[in-house]
Amino acid sequence: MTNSTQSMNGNGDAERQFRWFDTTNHMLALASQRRVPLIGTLELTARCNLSCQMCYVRREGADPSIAAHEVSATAWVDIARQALREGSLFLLLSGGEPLLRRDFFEIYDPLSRMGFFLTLFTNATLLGDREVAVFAQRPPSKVVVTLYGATAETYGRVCGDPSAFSRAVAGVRRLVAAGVRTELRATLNRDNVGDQAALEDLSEELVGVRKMETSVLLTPAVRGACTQPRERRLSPEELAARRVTETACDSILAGEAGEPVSVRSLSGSIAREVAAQGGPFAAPPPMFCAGGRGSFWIAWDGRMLPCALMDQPFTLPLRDGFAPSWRQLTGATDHIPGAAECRACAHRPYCSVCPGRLQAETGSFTTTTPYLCELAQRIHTAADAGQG
Amino acid sequence: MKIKDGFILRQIVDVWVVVPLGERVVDFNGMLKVSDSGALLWGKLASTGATREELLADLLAAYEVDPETATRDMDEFLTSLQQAELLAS
Repeated sequence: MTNSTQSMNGNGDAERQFRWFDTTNHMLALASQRRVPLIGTLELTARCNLSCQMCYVRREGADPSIAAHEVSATAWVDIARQALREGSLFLLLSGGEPLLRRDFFEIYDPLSRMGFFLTLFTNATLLGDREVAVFAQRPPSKVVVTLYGATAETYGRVCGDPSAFSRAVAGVRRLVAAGVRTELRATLNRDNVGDQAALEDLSEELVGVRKMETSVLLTPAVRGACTQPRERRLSPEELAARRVTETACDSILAGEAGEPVSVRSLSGSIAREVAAQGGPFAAPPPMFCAGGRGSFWIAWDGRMLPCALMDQPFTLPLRDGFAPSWRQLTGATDHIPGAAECRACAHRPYCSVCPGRLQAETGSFTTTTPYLCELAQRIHTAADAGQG
Repeated sequence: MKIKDGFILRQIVDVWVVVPLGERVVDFNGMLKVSDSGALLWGKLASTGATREELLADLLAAYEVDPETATRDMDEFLTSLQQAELLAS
């Protein structure tokens, strides 16, 4: 199996091996500059079979009224086809739990043959033999599984279902046995933070990699989610002890050098890195990611958003078509204001603030939140103390 | 010579990339970045297939390049394809 990105030249250059990250970094820079929707997420559903209170998007899995408002499989496929024509290359299928949709494979099958690099986010609890058999035959580029603990007891606390732990582990084992590229992540909160080391042990056992991308800076509920992330997340004091600074769209880039990074990670970190290097893409403040410039998020109800954390601006690709909606979104993104208070803040280099996170925290792009301000202040203080 | 089925050549933000489709991801889970001239050769090899002579003729018609250089570059490209097991047997 060939994993690395390769460069093939027919013009005299020696063949060079490109790392996936380098290539996608370059492409995202160009895409953001030219407003090409290179990266996209289809949030296929907000419903989930688990009941994690720290989730930012979850709706009740059995709620028929939510399912009735979800985008149909036919419409998802049509939207994806339009996105492909506009230049989308990396597509993330996310949720909620995407596999909770009975018609998931009616969406997945045509998308897998269109010309995208597909990534699937899942909790792995619904990955039975039938599902994995399909992925073994037509794999996505990568399946990313989030683990919520290292024991059944922890899953009981976090997800409300102790039995989900064994199902998740079994799902991961099936993927690995089938040869599907699988990456594990963790989301830490008050109920499972004590499992971090055990999670790394589990990751090493399951996929042979100890290092996991771990999210700890949790976002408040958005788009009407029925959860309580604010109550479950770690305090600024606890986060500062971990020196946490995350971009809004991701946490820590996972994987070894040369391995593909997730689509989700691309939306934030690459843009930041390129901007820091003085690269061709340096979004004007306050947006410093590719959201609404080189990437989009289509929510479960069909609204196109700049990123996962925002509720607006939004456009309506099902009604107006993908291309017009994308153009409207890029225009609206250009007018997203920044918080005046942040501009001259001494803690800014240590802060995780961005428009998406501010909107999720406060409902406004221009209103700061004590949670992030205290976190930045504490990390700044800790950094100064460390240097002293 | 012909490229195996199950790949699509796409040009996005001026970058040519080859994407594996469906079942092809099983044995090629990655992205190929291809130069302009490589895309020309790939297009020919993926659609109708071509001999070395036909590929060379296409290169010479498309680029102001001497035959020796074009031949060397073409062979380098074809070797890359063979090493990546992308050519149909």
